[in-house]
Amino acid sequence: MSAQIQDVEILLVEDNPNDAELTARALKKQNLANQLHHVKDGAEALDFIFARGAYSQRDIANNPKIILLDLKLPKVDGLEVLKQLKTDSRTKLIPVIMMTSSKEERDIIESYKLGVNSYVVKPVDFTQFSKAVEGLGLYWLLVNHPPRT
Amino acid sequence: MSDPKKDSRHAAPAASDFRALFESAPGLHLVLTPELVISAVTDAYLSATMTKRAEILGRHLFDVFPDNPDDPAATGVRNLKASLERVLKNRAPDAMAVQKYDIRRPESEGGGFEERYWSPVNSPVFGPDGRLAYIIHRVEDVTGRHVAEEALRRSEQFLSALFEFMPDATVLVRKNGEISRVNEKAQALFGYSREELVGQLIEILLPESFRQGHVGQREGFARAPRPRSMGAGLELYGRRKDGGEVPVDIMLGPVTIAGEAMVIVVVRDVTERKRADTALRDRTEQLEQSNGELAAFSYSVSHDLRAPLRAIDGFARILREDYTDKLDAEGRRLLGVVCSNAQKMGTLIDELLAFSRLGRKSLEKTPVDMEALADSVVSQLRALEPQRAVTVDRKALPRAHGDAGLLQQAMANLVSNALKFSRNKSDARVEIGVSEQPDGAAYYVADNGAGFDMKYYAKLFGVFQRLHGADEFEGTGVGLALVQRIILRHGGRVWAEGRPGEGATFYFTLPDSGGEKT
Repeated sequence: MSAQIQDVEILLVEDNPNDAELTARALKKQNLANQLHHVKDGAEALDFIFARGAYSQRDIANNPKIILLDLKLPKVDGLEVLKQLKTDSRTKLIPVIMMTSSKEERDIIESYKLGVNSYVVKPVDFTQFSKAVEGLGLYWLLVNHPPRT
Repeated sequence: MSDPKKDSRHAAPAASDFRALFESAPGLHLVLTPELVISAVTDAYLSATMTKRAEILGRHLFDVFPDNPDDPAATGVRNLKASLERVLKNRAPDAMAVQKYDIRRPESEGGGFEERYWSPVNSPVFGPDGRLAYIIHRVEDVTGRHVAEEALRRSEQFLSALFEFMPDATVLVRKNGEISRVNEKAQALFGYSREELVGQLIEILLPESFRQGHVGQREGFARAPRPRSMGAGLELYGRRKDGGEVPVDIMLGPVTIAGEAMVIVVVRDVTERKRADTALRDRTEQLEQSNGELAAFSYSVSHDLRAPLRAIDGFARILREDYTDKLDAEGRRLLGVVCSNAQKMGTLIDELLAFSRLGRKSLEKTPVDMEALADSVVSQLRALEPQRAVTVDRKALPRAHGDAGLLQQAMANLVSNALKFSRNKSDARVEIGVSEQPDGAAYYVADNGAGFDMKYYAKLFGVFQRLHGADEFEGTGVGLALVQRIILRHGGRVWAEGRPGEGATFYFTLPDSGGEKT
């Protein structure tokens, strides 16, 4: 499911392979999965976003159109990833949808404090996902696969 | 006097004048015969004793001045009589100690007796034949002085007792730091006797490391004395005679005693309080820790327990969607069972979490319109089953004081139970009302549904406890536990009555709920 790393539209940060598969499947049904890149922890997510380590060849200016970020992640957790990319001028405009297992209030509050763009509770079914994306005004951009400029 | 010519001008008074001279003499004098009959009296005496000469001359002394019959402890007559008898016997003057000898007040001034104190001296007067002819009884009215002294003595006793029995160690210190007085508790606290402390510098009661610095602080205080506690925010220690150190609180009060600026130092032993503080702090820490662990636990449950459920449900759905043509009806039914159980467990987790969060959430109490609250609950629940035929009778309900969100949840759980357990009745009825209880108004929700057997009452409000099979009435067993927790957190009471097949009534009280109807 990995797209060319230069041409990623959706970055999925998810450690649970089952959740990743279910999410990818929901997107795939809408033909959104072919430019999806999946990373398994927060550290890898940061490497990808800031074009470091294994991703040093990536052009940092070529941001993904959207990041689906799991809250609980090994190594660097979702809130920390969110904090780092929202405080860096190069990445702070990338829309981030936080995905979580629960509606724990403190997670939601903390995420919004850190500047998350939307928040969905797993399982991420397509209806919920599209609502979140619609809210960001990105829906048609993603669904229609506009030519890259 | 050397000039004899002047003798005639300085002649002795005529004998007849002596009585007048005596009567006008300053001082309170009474002349008695050896039989104690009054034979002469000065004007001053008459005035002091509120008597008239004509009324007392020729009468017996104790006939005129009896004891105050209202004072059973009166000793005036007895003491005076004894003194006069001594004079008669010893033929010598007899000075008496200050006597309480009340004086009869004339009827014209209200009657009764007036309290008086006297300092009397009885002196014999001898006739030319050497026989005792008279006794001169001279008194001084010392009532005013006595009363003032008595007041002073009482005040001194009171202050002394106050100082001595202060519940805290108390030390009176001179400006130069010298201990002037200590009380009982100070001796007990520091282990010194009064004699060992008085005259010493106050620093004797301080741990050695503080002594030097204290002299400067003490002098600073003496320059600008004002009542204050010492070393605010600091841990203070006193030093006992045996060298042991005691944690103390100290209050300083500047006072002026007989023109000398002094400081009253009140020292409170706070050993016990410190111990209690420490115990409390430890306990709070433990509670915070276990609270934190509990929060972490439920947080973890809410995230981690759900992940496998999601996989079960999600992949079973995929199986059903993608392989539907490869499954027969039974295979699809079995997959349905898997999904519905996964979802049911999701619900259980949600409710359990809601239940545990309730223990941590702080209540936001406001006045709550219980009628509006009940109506909104009923209409929401009715909307879920629009076809359902059920009579809901909402009676007048008093306003409550509580957390509106939580009360709504409690009411929703009770009404939803009432609707659920009455659904097999053809004439299902739910009643929401209020009943007077000894501890105030109790709200109730009653139904005429399945009811329950009182012998299982103990299980009714337990978490995950159910009195009906899942095939009979669906549910997770959290609803009533949640109701109970909400009501208990409000400081109220919740209980129920039921009979199998006849229905159930759930009651709850809320403290501070007004009797006025909303």
